[in-house]
Amino acid sequence: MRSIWTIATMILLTVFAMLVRVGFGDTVFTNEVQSTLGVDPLGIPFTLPATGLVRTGASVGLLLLVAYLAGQLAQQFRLAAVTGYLGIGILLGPTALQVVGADELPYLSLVNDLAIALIALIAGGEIRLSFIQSRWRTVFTIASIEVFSVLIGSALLLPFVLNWSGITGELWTPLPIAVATICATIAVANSPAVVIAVIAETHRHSSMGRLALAVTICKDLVLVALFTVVLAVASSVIIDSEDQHSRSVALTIFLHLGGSIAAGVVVGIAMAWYTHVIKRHLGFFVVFACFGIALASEALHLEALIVAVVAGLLMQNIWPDEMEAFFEELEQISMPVYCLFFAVAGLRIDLLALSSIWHWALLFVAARGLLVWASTWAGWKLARAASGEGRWLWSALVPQAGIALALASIVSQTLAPSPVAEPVFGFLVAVIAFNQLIGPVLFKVGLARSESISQAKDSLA
Amino acid sequence: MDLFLSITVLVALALIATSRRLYTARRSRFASLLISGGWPAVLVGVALGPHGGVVVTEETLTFASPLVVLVLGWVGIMVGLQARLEILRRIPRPHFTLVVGDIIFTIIGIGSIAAIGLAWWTSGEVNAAILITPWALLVASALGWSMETRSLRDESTPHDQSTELFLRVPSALASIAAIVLFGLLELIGTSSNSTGVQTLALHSSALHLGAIVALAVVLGVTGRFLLTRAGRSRANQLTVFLGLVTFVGGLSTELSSSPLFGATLAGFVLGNIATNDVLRFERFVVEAEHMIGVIVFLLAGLTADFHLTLIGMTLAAALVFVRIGLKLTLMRWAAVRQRRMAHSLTPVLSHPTVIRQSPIAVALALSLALVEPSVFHRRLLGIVLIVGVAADLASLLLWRLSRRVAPGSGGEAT
Repeated sequence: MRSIWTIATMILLTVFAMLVRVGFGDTVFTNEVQSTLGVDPLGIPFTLPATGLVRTGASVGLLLLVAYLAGQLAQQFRLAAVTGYLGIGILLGPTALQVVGADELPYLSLVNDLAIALIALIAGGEIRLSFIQSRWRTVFTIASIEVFSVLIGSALLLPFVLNWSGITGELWTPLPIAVATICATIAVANSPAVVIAVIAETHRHSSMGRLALAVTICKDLVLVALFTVVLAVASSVIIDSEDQHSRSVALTIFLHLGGSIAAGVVVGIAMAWYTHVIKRHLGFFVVFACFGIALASEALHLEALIVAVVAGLLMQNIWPDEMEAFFEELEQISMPVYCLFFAVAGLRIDLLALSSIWHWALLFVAARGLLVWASTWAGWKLARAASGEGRWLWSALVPQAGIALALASIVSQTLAPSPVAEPVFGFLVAVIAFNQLIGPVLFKVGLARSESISQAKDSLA
Repeated sequence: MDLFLSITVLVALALIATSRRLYTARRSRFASLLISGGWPAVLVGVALGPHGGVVVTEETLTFASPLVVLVLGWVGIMVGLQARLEILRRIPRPHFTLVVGDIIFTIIGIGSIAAIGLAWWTSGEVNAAILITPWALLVASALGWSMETRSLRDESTPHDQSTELFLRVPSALASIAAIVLFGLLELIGTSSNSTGVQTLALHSSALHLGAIVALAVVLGVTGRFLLTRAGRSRANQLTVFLGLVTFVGGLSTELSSSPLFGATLAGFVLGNIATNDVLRFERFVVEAEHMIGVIVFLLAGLTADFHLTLIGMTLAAALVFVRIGLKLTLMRWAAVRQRRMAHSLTPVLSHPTVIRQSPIAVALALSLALVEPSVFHRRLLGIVLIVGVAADLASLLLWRLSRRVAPGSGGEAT
C-alpha cells in the first residue's frame, strides 16, 4: 500500500510539473525569452534569463522529491537507494520523458561541484589513519594490484571492443591504442560516493566497509595523477597537435597534486577553527564550505576531490572529538546532495546513444567486472589478510559514478577536435551507466554477505 | 562562479558575525538596529555587486537565480506555515482591525504617491498596465512593519507584553497580506505584459492564479505525505523541505509569479492540514530564519541598482515621509479605537517600531528582480532598500526624541 502511495505521489508531482510546462510554456515569458532581450519602462534594454535557467529551480525541487521517493521505493524492493536516484534521473531526463530538458543540464553542474566536494569531505572523514596504519599492507596491495590489472586488462581488450563497435577504425594504429588507454584509465575509477552512500544507507559501518572506502579513495587519488599523464600523452597522439607540452606533464602533476594537498591542509585547519570557535549554523557552513572548496579549486586549477579529502582526513584524525558535530551535520546534509547528484548523473545518460552500443558496453562491463573480481581476490591473497571479509570486497570496486563521469567529460572536451570524441564519450557514459546501475546493488549484497560471514565466524569462535 | 565564491566568503563572515563572541558589539542600540535590519549584509552585497566592487557580475547574478528561488521559497513557506486557521482564530479582533486599517491607509497614502511617482519617473509614456507590478511592489512593501521590537524597547519601564503583541501580531498578518496583494497584482501585471498588447489580461491572470492555487494544493497534500514518510530524521526532513521549497518556488517563477506567493500558499495549505510531522517540520524551518534573512539581504544588496535619477530619489524620499506620517497616524487611530489598549499605546512615539519597514518588503522586491531582471526592477529594489534604511534611522531618531521627553531610560539594547 505504501509503495502505491509513493508511486502515486511521484506521478502526481511529475505530471503536475509537465502540465505547467506544457500548458503555460507558451504564455510564460513568451515574448521575453524568445527574443532574450526586453525593454523596461525606463526604455533600458535588458537580457532575460534563458528558459533552461528559469526551469532549473523547479527541476531541482522535482528531482529532490521524486529521487527521495524513488530511493525509498528501491529500498522497499531491497535495492540500493542510489539505484532509485539514478533510475529516476534517467526516466525524467532529456532522452526519456524530457521533464528536465537538455538546456537545464549546464545549470545543474553546480550540484556536481557541491556533491563532489561534500562526498570527498565525508570520504576523508571516514579515513581513520589508525585503521590504515593497521591495515596499510592490505590497502596498498589490493589497490595497487587492482589498478594495475584493470588498467592493463582493459587497455588490451578495449582496442578490439572499440573497433568492433565502429568507434575507431583500423586496429593496430596509434589512434585506437591511445583512445583505449584513456578509456582504460577511466575503467580504473571507482565511486567513493556510492560506497559511502550505501554504507550510510545500510548503517553497516563494518571493517569491510572501511576497507572498501580506504581502497576506493586510495585508488582515486592514484587515478587523478594517472589520468593527467595518460590524457596528456594520448591526446597528443589523437589530436596530432604539436602544442602538447608533454615535458611539462611532470610539473603539472606535481603542482596539481602538491597544491591540492596544501590547499586541503589550509581548508581543513580553517574549517576546524570555525567548528571549534564559532560553532553556529554548522549546516549552512558545511554547504557553503563545500561550494567554497569546489569553486576555489576550479579557480586555482586544483583537484577539489583531493582538497576535500585531505581537509576531511585532517579534521577527523587530528581533532576527532571536536569535529564530531561537524561530521554529524555533514551526514545530515549528505542525503539531499546524494539524491540530487545521482539523479543529475542519471539525467546525463543518453538513452539513444546507449541503444546503439549497449551490447558492446555491456561486454566491456562484464570483462571489467571479471578483472575487478580477479585482481581483488589476488590482492587479498597476496596481502595474506586472514579475515573472510575480502571475499566480497570486489563488489565495492565495481560501482562508477561522479568521478568517472567527470573524467569522461574532460576526455570529451580534450578530444573535441577529433571525430572520435563524441562516440568515445557515448561509449564511456554507457559503461558508467551500467556500472552505476549494477554497482550499488552488488555492493549492498556484498556488505550484507560479508557481515553474515563475520557473524558466522564470531558465533563459531 | 564568482558569485558563489563571494557568497561563500560572505556567508562565512555572516556566520562569524552571528557568533556569541561578537555579541558585545551588538549592544549599542544603533548597531543593534542596523544588524537586526539586515543592513550590514546589504552593504557587503552592494560593495561586491555589479555597481560596487564588481566582484560579482550581472551575468553571474542571473546564473544565481535558482539560489534566489530556493531562498525566497523558504521565506514563503515560513510565512505560510504561520497562517494556521487555529492560530488566526485566536487573534483578537483589534489586531485584524489594525491590519485592515494599515492596508487601507497604505493603499490610499503610499498608493497615491507610488502612482504619481512611477508615472513621473516613466515620463507618463508607458501603458498603465505595465506599471501595475511596480505599483503593487511599492504598496505591498509599505504594508506592516518590522516585528523586531527589542532594539527600541525601553528598559526603564516594565515589559508590556500586550503592546508587544499588538505590534508583532498585526505585523505578521500584514506580511501575509503583502505577499498575497503583490502576488495577485503581479499576476495581472505580468500577464498583461506577456500578451504584448499591454492591456489588462484578466482571463490569463485567472488561469495563472488557478495554476498557482493548484500547485499549492498539490504541494500541501503531497508535502504532508512526504513529511510523514520523513518522520523524525533530520536528513529526510531536509531533503523533503529543500525539494518542496525549490519545486514550489521554481514553478511559481515559471508561472510568472513571485516564488514567495506560491510558497506562502503552499505553506498555508500545509500548515492547515497539520499533523505532528508538519509541526515538527515548522520548527525545523524556523530554526534557519536568521541565516535565510542574511542571505536575502545579501542577495538584495548584490542585485539592487542605486543609480536613481532625481525623480527616483524624490520618490524614495516621499515614500519615507508618507510612511512615517501614515504609520504614526495609524497607531493613534488604533489607540483611539481601542480604548482598552490606550494605556499602553498612548505614548505612540515610544513605539517607533511601526515606522520600520518589514523585511518581507526586501524579499518581495528581490523576487520581482528575479522574475524580470530589468534595470527598472533593480532600481525599484534599490528604492525599497533606501526606504528601509531611512525608516530605521527615522525610528531611532524618534525613539531618542521620545527619550528626551521622558528621560531616565537606558541607552543600551539587550
